[in-house]
Amino acid sequence: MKMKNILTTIYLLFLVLGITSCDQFLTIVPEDEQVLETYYTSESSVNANTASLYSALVWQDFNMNFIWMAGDELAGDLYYTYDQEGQFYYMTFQNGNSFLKEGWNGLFRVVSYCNNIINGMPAAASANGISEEIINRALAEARCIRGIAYYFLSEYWQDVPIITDNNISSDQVIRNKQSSVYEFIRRDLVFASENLPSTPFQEGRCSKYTAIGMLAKLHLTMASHLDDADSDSNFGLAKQYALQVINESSYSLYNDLSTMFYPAGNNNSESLFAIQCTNDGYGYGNGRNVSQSRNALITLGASWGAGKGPTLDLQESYENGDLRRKYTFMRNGDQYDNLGGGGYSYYNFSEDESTETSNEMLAHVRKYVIGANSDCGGVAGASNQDAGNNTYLLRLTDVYLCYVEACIGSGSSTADATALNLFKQVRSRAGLSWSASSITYDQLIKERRVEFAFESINFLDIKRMSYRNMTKALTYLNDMDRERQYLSNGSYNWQERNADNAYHGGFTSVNPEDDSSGEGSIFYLNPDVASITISAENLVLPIPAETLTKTPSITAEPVEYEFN
Amino acid sequence: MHAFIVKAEAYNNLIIRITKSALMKKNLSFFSILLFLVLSLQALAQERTISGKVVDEDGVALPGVTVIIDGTTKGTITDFDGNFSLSGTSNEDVLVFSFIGYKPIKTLVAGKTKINVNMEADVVNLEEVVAVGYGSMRKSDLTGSVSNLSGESLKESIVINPDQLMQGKVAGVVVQANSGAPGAANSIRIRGASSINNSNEPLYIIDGIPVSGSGTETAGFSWSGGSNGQNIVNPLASIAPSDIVSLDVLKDASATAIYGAAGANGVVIVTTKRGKNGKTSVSYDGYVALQHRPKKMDMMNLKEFALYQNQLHNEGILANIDEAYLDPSLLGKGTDWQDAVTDDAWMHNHNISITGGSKGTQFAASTGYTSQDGMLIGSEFERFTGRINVDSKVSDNVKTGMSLSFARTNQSIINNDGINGVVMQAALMSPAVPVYDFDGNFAGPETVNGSSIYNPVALAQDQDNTLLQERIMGNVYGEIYPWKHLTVRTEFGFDRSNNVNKGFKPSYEYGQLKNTNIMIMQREDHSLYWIWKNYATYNQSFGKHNIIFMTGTETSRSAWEGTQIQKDQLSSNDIRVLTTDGELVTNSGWKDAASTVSVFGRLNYNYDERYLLTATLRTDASSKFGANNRWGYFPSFAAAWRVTSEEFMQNSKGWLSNLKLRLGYGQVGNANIGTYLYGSTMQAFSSAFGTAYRMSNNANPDLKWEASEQYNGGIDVSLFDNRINLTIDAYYKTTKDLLLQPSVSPVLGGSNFIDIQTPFMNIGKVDNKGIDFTLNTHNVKGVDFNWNSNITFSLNQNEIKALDDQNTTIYGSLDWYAAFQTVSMITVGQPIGVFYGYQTDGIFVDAEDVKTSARPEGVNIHRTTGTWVGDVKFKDISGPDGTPDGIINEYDQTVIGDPNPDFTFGFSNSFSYKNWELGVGLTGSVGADVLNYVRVKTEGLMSQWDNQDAAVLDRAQPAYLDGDNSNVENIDNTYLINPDATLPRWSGNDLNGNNRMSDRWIEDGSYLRIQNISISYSFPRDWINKAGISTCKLYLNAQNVYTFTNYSGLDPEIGSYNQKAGLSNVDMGRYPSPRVFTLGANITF
Repeated sequence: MKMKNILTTIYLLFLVLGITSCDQFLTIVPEDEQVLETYYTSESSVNANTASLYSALVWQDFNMNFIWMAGDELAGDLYYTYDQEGQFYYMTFQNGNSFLKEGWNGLFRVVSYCNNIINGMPAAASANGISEEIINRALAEARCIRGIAYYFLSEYWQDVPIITDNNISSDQVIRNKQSSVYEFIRRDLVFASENLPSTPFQEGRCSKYTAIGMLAKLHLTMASHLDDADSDSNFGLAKQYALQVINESSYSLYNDLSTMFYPAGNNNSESLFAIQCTNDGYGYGNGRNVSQSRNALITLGASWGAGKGPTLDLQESYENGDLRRKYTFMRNGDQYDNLGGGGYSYYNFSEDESTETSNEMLAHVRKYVIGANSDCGGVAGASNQDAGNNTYLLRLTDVYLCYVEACIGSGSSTADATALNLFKQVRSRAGLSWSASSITYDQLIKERRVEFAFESINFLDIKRMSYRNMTKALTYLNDMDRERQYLSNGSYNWQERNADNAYHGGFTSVNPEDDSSGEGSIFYLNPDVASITISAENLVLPIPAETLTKTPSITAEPVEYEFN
Repeated sequence: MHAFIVKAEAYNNLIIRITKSALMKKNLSFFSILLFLVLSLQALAQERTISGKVVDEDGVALPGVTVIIDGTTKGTITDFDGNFSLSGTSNEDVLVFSFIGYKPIKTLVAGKTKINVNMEADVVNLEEVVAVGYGSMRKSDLTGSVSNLSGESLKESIVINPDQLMQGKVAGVVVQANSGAPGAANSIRIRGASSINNSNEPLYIIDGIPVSGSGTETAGFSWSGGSNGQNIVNPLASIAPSDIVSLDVLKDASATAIYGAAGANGVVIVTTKRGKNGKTSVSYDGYVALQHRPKKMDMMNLKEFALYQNQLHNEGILANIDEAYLDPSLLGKGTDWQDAVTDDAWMHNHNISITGGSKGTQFAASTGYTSQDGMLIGSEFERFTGRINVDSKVSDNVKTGMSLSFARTNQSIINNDGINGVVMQAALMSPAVPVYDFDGNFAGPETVNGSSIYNPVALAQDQDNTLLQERIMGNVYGEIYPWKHLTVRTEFGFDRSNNVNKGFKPSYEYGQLKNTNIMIMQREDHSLYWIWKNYATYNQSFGKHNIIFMTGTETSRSAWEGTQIQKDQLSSNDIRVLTTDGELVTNSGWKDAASTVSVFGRLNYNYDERYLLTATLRTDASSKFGANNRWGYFPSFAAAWRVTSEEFMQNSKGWLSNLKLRLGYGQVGNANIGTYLYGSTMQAFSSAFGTAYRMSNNANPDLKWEASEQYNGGIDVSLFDNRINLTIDAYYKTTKDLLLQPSVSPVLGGSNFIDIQTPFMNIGKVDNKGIDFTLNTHNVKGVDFNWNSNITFSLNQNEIKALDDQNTTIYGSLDWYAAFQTVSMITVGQPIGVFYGYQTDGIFVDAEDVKTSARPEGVNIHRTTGTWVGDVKFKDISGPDGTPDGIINEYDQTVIGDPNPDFTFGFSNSFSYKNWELGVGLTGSVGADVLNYVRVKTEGLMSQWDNQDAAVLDRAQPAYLDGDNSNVENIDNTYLINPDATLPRWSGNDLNGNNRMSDRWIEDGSYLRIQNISISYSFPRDWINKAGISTCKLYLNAQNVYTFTNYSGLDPEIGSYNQKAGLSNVDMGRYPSPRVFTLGANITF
């Protein structure tokens, strides 16, 4: 009985204790994660929060695939025909294309991150005594990046919803007119330019001139709508902003083409804004080393670029002696000492023909391809598509050439001395000179094309061209004959195919069977390809099917945005 | 990203049936002694004496068994050691041995003077006691729907993991193996799936300790590039099936409500062996088994592959043909990669248990070892278990006891599902590639564009993925009886597990397939769960009123933590340990906890054994919910009427042994979600600027329990002295307030890992209704020959009634690299996880057909960059304005299949003749559709290098009227050689989308399977007793004997991919279930 009493007492005691400490027992705050309520306690926590906006992890859906499919394939620079990825090359993608969806979702995700900081951080941070200067700087970073994301949205999709609060219900989502989107971007960038420091407080972050450089590009784009009443003043503003960056900032052209797209060139002197790529796993890094590299001999790991190459039209755009050519794409006989784990020689074929074969362009992508780990400081990312080289979204050269484009304005050429000077600087870095006393619009576009090939912004140049003159833009695109591709003749051995004359003399449009000389050609143009015709509708991407389904209201006619 | 080792909140009883029945026996023996005194007076007149011993199935002596000469009142009862002696019998007399809870046995005397009898527990006996949670009840007193599996029915199948014991045996429970891999998880659905996001697996209560049915996640394979495959392992892998004496399946809400917030998916109470009074007995259970691959895919051999290459050349697809293929007749069969990755494999299992005890203390101890080699090379499973259960009476009113079990499992897991999986890779690898080269090293294709991603034989052996799990579970209880009607019990249990998952990807060079980056991964998980229960049971009868009232409280806490580290660029394949070698790729760590507090009560009222009433109420509070909705209340009521106990039914007793009607209602919950979802956390990740933080989700402080309401009506009928037992239950279950992340427009956010996620909300509603049917019959009842059969039938209909505000469909997606990702959907008005895609309408047979039919949007008529003769024709069922628009696009997608079966059934038979016993078990499923994703690859017809199903030789083959196969634009020049073909043409770009998600890949997954055939022989006691053995049974068992099905894949039993409700019956190259031949023995000393 005594035992029983003891047990009963213990039981009751625990019951009482249990009830009183219940709430405490049931409140468990995660031990492995910070929680929002206690997060914004210091300047460094605010900075760590804005650090997320630059990370490739957050940009990944835009940065992994869509960026080069839309930016380079649509532009007619990158040849690739496989499945949904190739649909961008053929301009046959539909709104169900999964990469189209990734691009759209990815950019809106960046917007959601920016909005999260813009809407939530100031009050929480200020309640914890963080200075207004720090808060404003963080706000400016978020608004600068939101502006950049919206720039891509408006150029690819034209009329897009302006979202400033992500907690609205889906049926409130409507599209805004492109002009409203431009104005929205402008306001974000102006705020950013007023609140960011002249030099980034941490290498790679936005500075005042990131915002101003983007403003130059934005106004140039707005101005390209020649029928807009403000077109002229926008050209003027574009020039003014561009000059501000060129003259006032500490940014300068980076002169080492060999490392420009390597990790060593990350955040170099001409990088105004780049997606920060790190070798931290899938999504964190730059996928191009895997997706664009020709084969495993280059990365000593995954390589999916065998079927990708510069279009013949892009290849033909390079002048002889252009140093950029070799750093943009590889062709027969090119030697690289920082690929393939210590050296790679590009030949269409090798002795073991199965190891290396040619593609239809007889050339492969070089830019952003950084080889094996030993070529690039161990961040090749050949397993997880997470190479450590940044993706440029705005570099100084772009601002230079934006200035030139703004000088041309609605005309067809410029003889502006500063423009000529800047243009020459860009060419001189590429080992080329410029003797003419003016620059025509077509020359500028060609220069931009070879300078920025595979940097996924050339399609946006074509968009500006279409705003100026749709017919011209469509002619420009269709005259590329991007469908052209070479076949190799089976009757030659590998040395013959790799011989110099296989590239020069061997190119022909004649089918070997029809060759009256009887010798046949080594490579001949494939006569059986369908021509690719691009129409005006192709230049505005369709809203992805998933968004249409989840947001039926988005199909309504776009409206002006009400700024308050 | 984190794998939560979520410990389900639920609880158990430790009033074990055996203890109860032991008490029962004690009471009975008192009456028996009286009987004995009466009977023995009459026995004096006779002369001839027979003696013997009565034991139970385990060879334990049975005291108090009545032994009567049939047709007389003459008889005796057995003494404490099970011995009896009966005089005055003649040769023609038949002795009848009977004992409550056991099947009666009749034996002809026939000159014998010694008769030893082995009595079997009677599984259909009404007095059977079942565990109901925090107590046990006589089956006859049940008001809810509870199924019990014990005794022989647990021994019919040879299983590695105890959840498989229920397959085909319990109505309303659908058990599907997700994979045939050793140690893989199963999908268990008790009365259908009701949760969309959370686990639909039942809660297991193992000797009082709750264990979630959601399996443990391993790191899989994606860390080293590629796809993960199925990476969930069986949550019950640490339990040796031979330790189990019974499984009680609580199906309806009135039964599971006592487990409240954890009861929504049903509860399975697992009881292990406990000690008994009497002589210590030692038993051995063991078997060896051979596993054999029952089926292969019909892939092309080398000769056929060469023919295929020639066909492609003729069609104008291949400009050049490898010279080796020019004359197929010269070629042999090449490599059969499916054979190469398969091996007949052995498994063996040994379990020794010792049970015994005196009146005061009883114990049961066991130790076991299981080793299984997988049928696919490289997969293995090994388990060591130990268990001790002790019950002891401290004094007349204090009892105590404990259980302690230890298990160590070691598994080697191969990548077995998905495109990177061994099954798929073996199917796709070209037959021209040898497994080994001339030097005996692993070979690979000699061209860059090799067909497989790796040599599947090589990587199954070279790449490591091992999981070592160590688990200790224990509990201790004390029970006091302060008053004869009152029992107060306190019980403390814990469950500690430590898992180490190691992965290693070596460098290799198999022909052109190379990897130079050596990678290593190590993941460790540790968890500790404890539970403390206190409850009191009051049991008293007032005349015809019998009351049992139980009430108590319970507190539990689960804490887990872990780390995962991944390195690459190791310098050697030789050292497979995480040393300083290599570069750190990433590491992560997690640590969290969850706690619950509960108060519960149950009232059982029974009037005159006729009217039965049960009411329960449980309230649970969980740390997973914020202060606003932390507490959930889960009531239930049930009533039953035992018609046969009524006066007016007494005349029917001859044929109607039992008739009971039951009705029940209850509410239960589900909270198998992550922790702190009611708040917002900041996710850390590496960035170029140091550690970056982002908000991972928006908060929802009002988050609350997912709630299920269920109505159940049942009838139990027993006819002809319990020879026919029928139980039918009909139920209607509706689950609302589902814990879901509403699907928002991608413009606003999303629920991907990387999104600032929309918070979980309580939205949506799912209905399940169905019928469970169980029929046990004793078809032939004789002295020597007996035939028993058991039929179970389960019908469940599932329908989604509501989702979020806009009823946004939730799509089920395959891995990102799949040819198409969206395969299924969860949408209002349909069952969970219906397949979604296009409908096909044959293939384009000629140019006219192509020109006049709807084609995919934006796709021209062109051989290489468009639609062509021989492509698949899709049905144009709708357009933007709801009517067919002549274009094939997303508006033409529709529901094309339902993975949920119309019904499932099991039919098992046991025939016994003297010492022989034959068991035959069938299981089946009717009406479930399967997405055969394997065929998307094996009949994909996109790559000339991939091996394909032999059927592709009969695909549509375009030819050209003018014989010129180079014109890719003039469709009028094209015709089909074989217009009757069902497979489309080869199309490298597939711009027509022949391989899109369509009914082309949907197949009927109905099957009837001969699940097992077993034959056993029990040695006569007379022989073996001399060797000190009380029972000895040898058996042969064949499992997964044969499957009747029209399904073209390897196995129509698919399960749910990684236990996900929305991805059921998706065959991604599943590890096929082996056919198993077993030779085993049960010996008791």
